[in-house]
Amino acid sequence: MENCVRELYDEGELSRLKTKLVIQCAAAVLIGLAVIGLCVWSLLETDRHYPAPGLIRTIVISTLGGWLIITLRLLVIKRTGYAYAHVKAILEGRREAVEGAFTLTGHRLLLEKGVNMRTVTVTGAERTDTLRLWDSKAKLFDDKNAVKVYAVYGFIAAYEIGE
Amino acid sequence: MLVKTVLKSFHRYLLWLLISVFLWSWTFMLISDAPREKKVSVYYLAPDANDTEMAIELEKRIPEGIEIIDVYPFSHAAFTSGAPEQADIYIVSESDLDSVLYQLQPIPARGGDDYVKDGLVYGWRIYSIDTGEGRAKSFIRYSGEKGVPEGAKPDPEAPGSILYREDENYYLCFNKDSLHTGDWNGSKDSAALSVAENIFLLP
Repeated sequence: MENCVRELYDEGELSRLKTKLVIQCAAAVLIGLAVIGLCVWSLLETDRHYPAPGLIRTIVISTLGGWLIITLRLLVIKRTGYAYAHVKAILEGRREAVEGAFTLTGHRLLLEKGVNMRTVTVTGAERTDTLRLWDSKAKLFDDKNAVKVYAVYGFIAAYEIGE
Repeated sequence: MLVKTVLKSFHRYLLWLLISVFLWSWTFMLISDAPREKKVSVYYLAPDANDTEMAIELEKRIPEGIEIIDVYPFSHAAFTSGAPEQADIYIVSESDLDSVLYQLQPIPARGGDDYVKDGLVYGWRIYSIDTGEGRAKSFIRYSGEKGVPEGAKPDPEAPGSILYREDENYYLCFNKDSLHTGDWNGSKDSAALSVAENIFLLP
């Protein structure tokens, strides 16, 4: 009786993430260009004899636009970029098979770059180990029936279910 | 979590705010100024003046080839090194004329009210102490102390201040290095003369 391997990552996902990343970067660039355009217009409309109102308007547009882009990068682009790098690393990395009993814990781990991970404890014959599972893959991981997982850099990439 | 991420990068937001302020202020200075060839600058050494309104009024009759007319107090020189030496027109009190004489262009006589030194005319009278009459009086205050209405008793400390002036004659003079005084010093145009005529037309 053969075991069934369930992949958690695929090339399609990598491609979707790349497209998403490109769209987000393009959106940020477009916002940046729009802000620069607005600032130039505002500056040209500024009365040189009474510059304060026009200058303040320009600085406010520029500052808020810049803050919007910084926030977009911090909260959206950076996460997509990390997710893309993570998926790419998993698909290209060398797999290591781990056997034992697996328990998906409720413990969430926020990696430095802003991607949530869950921890999976592995109880084997010799020792107890901990692996990481991307939060978005948690629903796909059947920890009760998994008999073996394939991990890359400690992240679960695929698992086997005993038939 | 999101707020925490944003707060963690607070320095980036602050840095961008500073860059914004300096970048646009500098850009505005660049685009709102003009080279000396296309600008006529008027410097005054008087207690007070509505320089912005005066510049706007003078720009209504701007000479051909000139883009900007600036009116500044002499104290502005503290912020722009060398600017008074690049000015075109000076409006100076009689008591201050000797100290700036080295920078003045000898000019043709305009009438009996000119400032004459060693047989050369250096200034045209713009405000007379005898009659109290003057040109551009609605823009320039020729006596008293800055911030104190004309005729009001000045601060006893004020006479020592550069911004305090006893009632005295004022003269309109030209910079010998001006780029706009025509044949007087070999300039290409005589825009400063036109602006000076317009100053004499101001109420």
